[in-house]
Formats: sequence, C-alpha cells, structure tokens
Amino acid sequence: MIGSELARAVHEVDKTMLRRLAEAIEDTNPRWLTEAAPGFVMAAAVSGTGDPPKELFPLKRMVAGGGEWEFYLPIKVGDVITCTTKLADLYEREGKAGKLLFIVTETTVVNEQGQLAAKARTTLINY
Amino acid sequence: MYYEDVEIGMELPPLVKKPTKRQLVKWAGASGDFNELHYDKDFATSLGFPSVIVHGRLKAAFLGQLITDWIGEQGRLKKLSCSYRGNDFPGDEITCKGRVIKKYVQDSEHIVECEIWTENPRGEKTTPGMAVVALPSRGK
Repeated sequence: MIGSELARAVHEVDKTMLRRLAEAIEDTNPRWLTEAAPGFVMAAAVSGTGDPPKELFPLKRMVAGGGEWEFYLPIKVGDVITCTTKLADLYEREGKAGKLLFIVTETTVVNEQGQLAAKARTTLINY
Repeated sequence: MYYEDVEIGMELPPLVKKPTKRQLVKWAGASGDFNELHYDKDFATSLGFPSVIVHGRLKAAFLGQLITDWIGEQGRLKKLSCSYRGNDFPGDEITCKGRVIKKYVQDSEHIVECEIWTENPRGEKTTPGMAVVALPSRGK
C-alpha cells in the first residue's frame, strides 16, 4: 500500500485561480496575480489527498497534522501542473484518547516541461 | 532584503490575520478543501470541537505570506514546514511571527533559516514551523 497513488490532478494555472487563492489568504501583493503564492502549493487541490480511500481512515475523526513544502520553480499563469500524491507512510500511536493513525502523503508538482516545481509531505491524523 | 542585512535572532515583522468564517469558505473554495470541519458548526461539534476551526493549510499559507512579505521579490522561499499543534477559531486574531536562527552559504546560495509560528490571542503557539529562504547578497 505504501507508494500507491492516492490522487492525481492536472491544473491549467490561470489568473482567476491565482487571484482567488490570494484573495482567500488576504494577501494583496500584485505579484500573486501572475505567479502562484506559496499558499497555492499548500492548497488541497495541489498537495492534498483528493478523496482518500476509506480503509486508510477507519476511525471517526480526521484532522491534518502538518505539512512540509519545498519550492523549486515558480508556478506561473499558463503553466500546466500535474500534482501526484502518493501514500508515503502509515503508523500508529497511542494517544490520550485512544489509538491515533498517522497517514503521511507525498506530492510532486511537475510542470508541462516535466520539471519538478514543488514537493510536499503532509500528515493526516485519524482518531 | 539582503543576506548581509540578516542577523541571528532577528525577528520578522509580524503579520496579523483575523480570519472570519467567510474567509474560511473562500479558502475552502479557492484551495479545494471541502472538509465540513471548517464551515459546518454542527459537524464540528459532533466531532467534539467547540466550533469550526481554521484550516491548517490556511495558517501555513499565512506563514508563507509572513516570509514572502519579509524577503521581497529578490528572495526565494525554498522550504516551509509547520505542524498544526493547536486549533484556531474564526473571529480570533492569528499573529504570524518568526525569528532568524541560522545563516550560511551553501552551493553558492545565501541561505537563512527561520523558526516561524502562529500565535493565538492567548499567546500560545498554535502552528510552529520552519522556513528556509535564499537571499541575494551584496557581495555579488
């Protein structure tokens, strides 16, 4: 199961997408109307798990634990990015309120020229 | 901002946010995160949360803005990580802060590392993390 693909999304990066993202952060820097703000890479549509399989999350509650994002190349209007998320790790811990399942995913963001633009590693907690 | 302007221990100019529930809905739509925990109070309370909570990824995006506001267009954010340690609630102020902890030259890049975090109105660090940036140098 480790290494299996959880989500793949292709986005044609356009001005509206970038503007809406910057507006949601309330970051008014005009730079983010043509170039993706860091938050764009952090967005679930880019480095999220899509609709992850239920067997990974058998317990009631699911929260995000954290993330790590690496930025290699700017993502700009007109880029076509392919975001591929794979299951990187699964482990269990005993918490105060019972069992905690940790689901670690890794996402690569590759542009239309095949260059790695960004990478993400995020943790979800099911409890 | 140049590499030479940075000193260890230096604090980043804080960035204050006060996300409303409306902003959480905008983030949900713009970022594609439709988890009800962030806009449906009944859903949030059924899971034991006092109300809807701010998306961790939105707080990460705020920390991204803290860094890009500080380094400007000539600097480059290389890496940002954070953990969603505590919940934040719409209507509460979230103050993004940071401090320089390391600076060094590696592979001819001028690198600065910062510890970064968000603080709630009680001064608790709810989203601690790290950022690595490359800055231009006056030496070149």
